[in-house]
Parts: sequence; C-alpha cells; structure tokens
Amino acid sequence: MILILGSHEEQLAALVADRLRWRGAAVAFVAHARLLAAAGLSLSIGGGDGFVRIGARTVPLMDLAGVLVRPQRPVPPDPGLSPEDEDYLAYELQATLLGLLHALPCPVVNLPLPEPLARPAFTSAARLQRIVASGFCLPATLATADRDRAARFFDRSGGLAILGTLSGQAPPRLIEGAAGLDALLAAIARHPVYLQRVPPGRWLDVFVVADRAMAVSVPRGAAPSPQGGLPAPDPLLIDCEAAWPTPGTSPAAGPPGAAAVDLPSTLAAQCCALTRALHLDFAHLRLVCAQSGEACCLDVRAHPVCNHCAPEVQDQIATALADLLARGERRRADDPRLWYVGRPGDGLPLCAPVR
Amino acid sequence: MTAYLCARLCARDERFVLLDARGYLRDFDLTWSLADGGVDGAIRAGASWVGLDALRSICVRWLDLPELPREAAETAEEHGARVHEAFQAIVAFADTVPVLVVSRPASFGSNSSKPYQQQLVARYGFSVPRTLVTTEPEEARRFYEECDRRVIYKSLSHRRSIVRRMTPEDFDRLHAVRHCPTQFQEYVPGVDIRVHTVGGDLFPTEIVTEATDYRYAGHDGASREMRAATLPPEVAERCLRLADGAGLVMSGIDLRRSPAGEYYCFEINPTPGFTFYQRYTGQRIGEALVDLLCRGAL
Repeated sequence: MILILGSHEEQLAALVADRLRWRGAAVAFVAHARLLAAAGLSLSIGGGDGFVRIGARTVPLMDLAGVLVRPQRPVPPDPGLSPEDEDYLAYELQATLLGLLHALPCPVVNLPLPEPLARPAFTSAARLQRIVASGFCLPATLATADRDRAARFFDRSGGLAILGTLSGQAPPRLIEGAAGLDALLAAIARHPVYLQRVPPGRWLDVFVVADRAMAVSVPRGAAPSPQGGLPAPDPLLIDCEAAWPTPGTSPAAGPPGAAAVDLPSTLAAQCCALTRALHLDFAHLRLVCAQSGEACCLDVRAHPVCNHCAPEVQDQIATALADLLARGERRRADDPRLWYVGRPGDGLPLCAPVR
Repeated sequence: MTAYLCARLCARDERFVLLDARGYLRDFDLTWSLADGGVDGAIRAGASWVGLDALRSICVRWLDLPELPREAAETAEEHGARVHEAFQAIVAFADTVPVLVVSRPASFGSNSSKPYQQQLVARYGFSVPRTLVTTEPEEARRFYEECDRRVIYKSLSHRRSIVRRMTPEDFDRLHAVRHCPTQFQEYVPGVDIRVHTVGGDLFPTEIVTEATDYRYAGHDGASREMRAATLPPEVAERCLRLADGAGLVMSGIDLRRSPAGEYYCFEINPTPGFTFYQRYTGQRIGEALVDLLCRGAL
C-alpha cells in the first residue's frame, strides 16, 4: 500500500494516486496527522514493526511501499481542550509523525526533517552553501526591521524587489515603484522583512523529482496574493509550506497553465544536484536565468505545489512521483537523509569571504 | 546560565553584547544582507551598532518571544503572527551569520521528537531501549508484559518531559493514549551519566540516584549524588561524533551504563543546563564554552 499523507482534494496528490492506481497499486489518503493518530497507530522503534489503521484496515508498517507527504489541511482546534493541551497535543503528534516517517523502511517523499524548511532558503547557512555549491548564484538580499535601510535597498534596486517574510508563512511578492514602497513600509511597520533584488532574466519554476527536472516559464514576479484568503497554518504540519493553496492557486506560483520549458541539460543537472544536496526527493526551485546562462536561485520549496503548471507538466510531475513511490525500494541504512539533522555551527565561510 | 557566561566574559575583559529576545526591536535590532555569496550585517544594541565583521561568535540560549506591544486595532491573532515573525527573524539571523554559533537553532530540531532522535542516536552506535509509541491501550499493556513489567513512559516531544515508571495502577487510565500518542520504554537499570560536549571537549558526570528521573530526585524524595566520571574512549568518541552529527557545538547527552557495562543513550539536548552539573562536580564546562566563544572557532 502507498500512503498519501494529504487530501485527495489536492490536485497533485489526486493525480499521483490516479497514476499509482492505474499501475495496480493500493493507495490510501490520510488527510492529516491527527486523523492518523486517532485512527490508531503503533510503532516499535528499532524493531521496525508496528501498524497504522487506515479506515477499517490495519496496515502493518512493513506493508507500506511508499509515503507521499503533502501540505495538509488545517485542523480546527478541539473545543474540549485547553489551548495549552491543544498545543501539547500538536507537539506530540508532530514528534510522533517525525519518528514514524523516519522509522519506515519504504520511500517517504519528502521525508520531513526537524529543521523548518518552510523558511526562505537563504535563512540557513547550510542551504545557502548548498545552493552556491550547486552552481547557482543568489540575489542580493536584505533582512531587516529598519525602515530606512529597507527603503534605501529598494531604491538601489531600481524600485523593484521581492518582499517576503522570514518565517516563510506569507508568500513572497514582487513590489515595484511607489506602490511597492508603500507596501514595503506598511509591512516593515509590522515586522521584519526580507527584500531580494530581482536580477534580469527569464523566470522559471523547476520541479525536481529525484533525477528528473521539469520546468515551466512564469511571468516575472508571478505570485498570486492569497493573503487573507488562506486558512491559518496547521499546527500539525511538519516542515511544510504554511499556506494551504486554494484551488487554482499556489503560494509563489503563477497563473494556471504556465507553459513547459525544455531545460538545458546542465541546468537540469544542477537542479537535481541541489535537490539531492538538500536531501529532498521532490523540490520546487524558483530561478531567474540570465541570457548568459547563469541561473539565480530565488528560493527552494520542500513541498511543491504545481497547480499553475500546464496540465502536461503536472502529469509529468505526478508520473515521476508515482514512479518514485512505486519503485518501493527499501531505504538503505546509509541513506544520508537518515543522518541529516542540520549542520555544525562551525563558522564555515559562506561561499565568499565576509566583507 | 546566561548570568554565568556574562560573569565569565567580564572576568576575562572580553567585549560582548547580551541580547534578550524579549527586547527585540526595542532594545536591539538585527540587519543582514547577502551579496556576492557573502553575508554582511550589523547588530544594534541600544544606540550603538556592531558590524558582523567585529563578531567572533554567538551563543544561543533559550529564546523567549519578543515582547512587541499590541497595537490598538490589532487582534490577538494578528499580534501573535507579528511576534512570530519577529522571533523567526532572530532565529534566521542565528542560522545564517557566518561566525561560530553555539549552536545554530536549525540544529535544535532533533530534540523535538524523541523517537526521531532515538533513531539518530542508534546510528551512532549507542544502545537504545526497546520503545513503543502507540495510541492503542492493548499494545501498551502487551509491551509492559513483554518487558517484564519494567517500563517507563514519557512525552514524545520536548514538552512536559518527565519520565515516570509504569505501574499496574496506570492500567485504569491507559485508555487515554487513544487521544494522544504515548511513548513507552523498557526500563534500563544502571547509572546515569550526563555528558556535556563543548566543541571537542567532553565532560561526563555520573549521577547516582534511585529516582526514575534524576532531575526530579528531590521532588520524589530520593537522594542524588553527582561526580565527574570518565568514559571508555570508544564511548567518548561516539558522543563527540553524535554531537557533531546533530550539528551541535555544545550538547548534553544522557547516557545510562547498564550493570553489564553497556552504554545506552536516551537523548541529546541542544541547550544543556550545564551550571547545575558543574556546581556539584567542579567540572570546567562553562570555562570550556567561554574559551570556545572567545576563540571563535572549533
């Protein structure tokens, strides 16, 4: 059986399930972690045995051939619990899910890590270094709560920049001109922000599934504004983009039907290398490619949403995910993802000397 | 801990800035930028700015939430979101700046799931107790019998983390596990050893007590003795590799030596309360940390 930890209403998850069923695989959805725990689970750490109950079925953990972890729906608070107990339960469920998914010998896409990957990629020394080591450049970026510094950076960027939050909870957006400055000042009056200078070039969304990279061309700054239209983040999410996409939109995505692009093989290899370096099976890279061929990496997302891609690209992505899950290869004990928990804070130089 | 570190840094005439996360945006500010692959930036503390190039190291202790005043038109939810953003900015700063950070917040995460951490620990060659995580009362009961009725239970996350022995009286409330997964572990008899790692230095402390959780020995009316200890070289090496693998420059590793001489590892703590141990044993854990911070490199 292949388990999809996510909703069948989510487009990509549904497509992957279709592809898997077409191959004769049994697929089950569990909408969120709380349901999984409430239905029943038992896990013996070290022994590798245990079971989960999915609907009326009791599935031994050894019978799971693969797991796909997708963004999950928010869970409404239980009115019978105090906020403190609700909080405690959320932490316990998260800890359980992290332990469970790491104990499974089958492929888990993407295997959650305790590190919060929902944050922008540049907010981690480890990820910064891996992005550069994979051959990408990074845009000039400023993180600040200082309005004057932010305004100066925006001005020096020609009045055009990406504005984002350091938690990654709100999707980044392109701001421009006087209206952009107003938006920047309004945001920074509330909390710290980051600004990214926008390099010239073609915007691409690249979706990597293991060793396959599929790309679409997106308009510059493509990002719907789901603010206010999205529910609160699910406290049970592990390592997940905070926003649950409304149908037809996705955080930091573009309009529906973004056209497929053939990636140069070197760039495709770079994207796959970066995804591997970040210990991901499935990633969404937002790139700006200059005419010179240089690719600038604006961000990397660990729970890609591809609703904005042309249907044939969504099909390719779903097929690649189904291939990966159906392969059902047992994870090896030396799988680096099982060892990876961050990196030493050892002051390693970041890509270039500190000025 | 923080007071201790400040006192030691003062005693050495080292310049340092103490940033209390509660005062973020009021008492201090953080700004950093990325250009040409390098990180540059500054810290405002009070009225003065310190450039990142003047920074040798950062020590991150428990971070409180910033105390941002709630605005008149702001709902509690909006205020909470704003506080969260501010908190994330501090975390992102500590995770990004290219200096020695003891330890980067990104590496604290393994402690948020004990079953996850247990798998990590086992891969570094430590013995780990048989463990069951379940929402099924019958499974818990079966595990209790399988382990000859010598079982403890504890939380899975770092919240409300107190270890308790399971007894037959607990059977009446075992149904509660249906509402929240619970972790049961085979009880391993032996001597507790807390190992503090600071860079490449190691400080094992042996704790002799009859309490199930030595931290709460006084609370349980049990005695507790602590003394500096030594570890077999291969166990010491394992501890250093585990801390390194977990991305922790400083850590507190909880071991237990069984009567057969086997070393079990229960947990690795990213922000250990080392002063408690050095007060009893005279071990120079804090001095090693201060040395490291002053050196700015491992």
